[in-house]
Amino acid sequence: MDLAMIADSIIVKVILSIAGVMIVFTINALFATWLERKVAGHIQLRLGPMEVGFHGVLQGAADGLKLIAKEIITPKGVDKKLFALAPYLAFFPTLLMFVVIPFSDKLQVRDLNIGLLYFFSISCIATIGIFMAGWASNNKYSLMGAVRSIAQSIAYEIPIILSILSVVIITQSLKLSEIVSYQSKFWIVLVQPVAFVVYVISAIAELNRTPFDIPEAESELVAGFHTEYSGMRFAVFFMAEYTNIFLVSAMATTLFLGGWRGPFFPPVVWFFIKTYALVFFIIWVRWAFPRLRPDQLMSFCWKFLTPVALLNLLITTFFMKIF
Amino acid sequence: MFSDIVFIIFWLIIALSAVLAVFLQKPIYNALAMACSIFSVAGMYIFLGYEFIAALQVLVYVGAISVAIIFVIMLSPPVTVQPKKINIYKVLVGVATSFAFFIVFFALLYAKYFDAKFTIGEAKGTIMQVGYMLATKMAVPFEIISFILLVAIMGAIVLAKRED
Repeated sequence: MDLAMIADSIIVKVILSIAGVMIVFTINALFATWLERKVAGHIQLRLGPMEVGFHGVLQGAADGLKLIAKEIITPKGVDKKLFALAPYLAFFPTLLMFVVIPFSDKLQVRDLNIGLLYFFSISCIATIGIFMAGWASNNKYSLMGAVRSIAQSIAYEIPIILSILSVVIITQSLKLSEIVSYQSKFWIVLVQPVAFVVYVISAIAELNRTPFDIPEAESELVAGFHTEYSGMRFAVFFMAEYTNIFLVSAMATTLFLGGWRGPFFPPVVWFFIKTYALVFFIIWVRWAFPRLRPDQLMSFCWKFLTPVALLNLLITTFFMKIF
Repeated sequence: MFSDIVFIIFWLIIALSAVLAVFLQKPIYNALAMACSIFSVAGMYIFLGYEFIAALQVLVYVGAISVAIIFVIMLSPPVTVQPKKINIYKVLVGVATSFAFFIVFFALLYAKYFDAKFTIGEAKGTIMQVGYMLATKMAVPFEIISFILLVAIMGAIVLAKRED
């Protein structure tokens, strides 16, 4: 069998795809946590991690080793089955979401016809994992955190979907490769600035990060839904969180910032530059703004973001009809 | 061959989780089993080539409806289900109803689709078809459904706001 045939066979493709996704996932988990701590440090006039490796780049690996070595504690009174299952149910959708991300013109696991819809429908499975963690922990802080998290993600899913819908109306496709190729002349953010802003704000809320981090507000809820988790199970939640930051930024890059398109560098490099610029922005927002109150959070979503997204959708449809 | 195995696996997951959704003792387990069953039905749609319907199935039924049910269970006081005495009359009525329902459904599908051949992955570009149908032939039902939903939302708000 010659090389081309081997590369074409379906099993090899599946194995290569899984390996690729795992590599991107691992590198992101290490890099994004390091970036978060570095940015936080410099914003607070500290240095952040400095000891392990050059400017602490290997700190994430060291922490990972520590978490693997830790004992997995199952507290008394938890629902053992759901408690053990929850982290993985919150985590596996993040890996599935990698399937449709176009890293370059060729690097994409599957170019689904419904790529965009697939991405957002898979992402709502994670909510059930978070809920299971909160309920199974048998702890009031966990339960409160889970309730807040679910209420928040249901609410903010609406502006997200509405904002990407205006992009879909312009590109006339849910296929991510077609959305990227539409942006060969200009980035969609230039014609849809409102949708971009709504998307980024709602995405930060979906990620449960400051200023929308009431599900894990330390001062009232200890750590929210993962209060009772320790060791590797906690690490799984933690990795899911940082993978989600990457995925949300990758999707924003694809939808609004021209995807992998760019001069001089290869497409993959451009994709990662744009994505990590957005990751940096999300981290920056976390360390620059205080937390909202739950009622402010909800009224901001329902009374401001959703109407703005709807109006934007209406105007987009109007202009698409005219021109 | 391979697709037959996948089909049977999906079928087993759907049936098993549907049974679990009925017979498990804790309400929370029932809800999760139901979500699992719904999710596997989405897998069945993908198997038939209806990607768009599958994505909507996950988005609406797993992402919204199951989560809403779970939310209600979570906020309600813990229910302990004691094994009840089996009322033979109720069981008979239940079995008869579900059997009648099954017969009617099966007869309808059999009459209409017996000759139609469904092959795996046949349906393509279903988003365009669905959109086109919604805007042309199905425009009136579509508008009526959206109106009913609007009424339902208003009803929910009225019920929630009423103080008594």
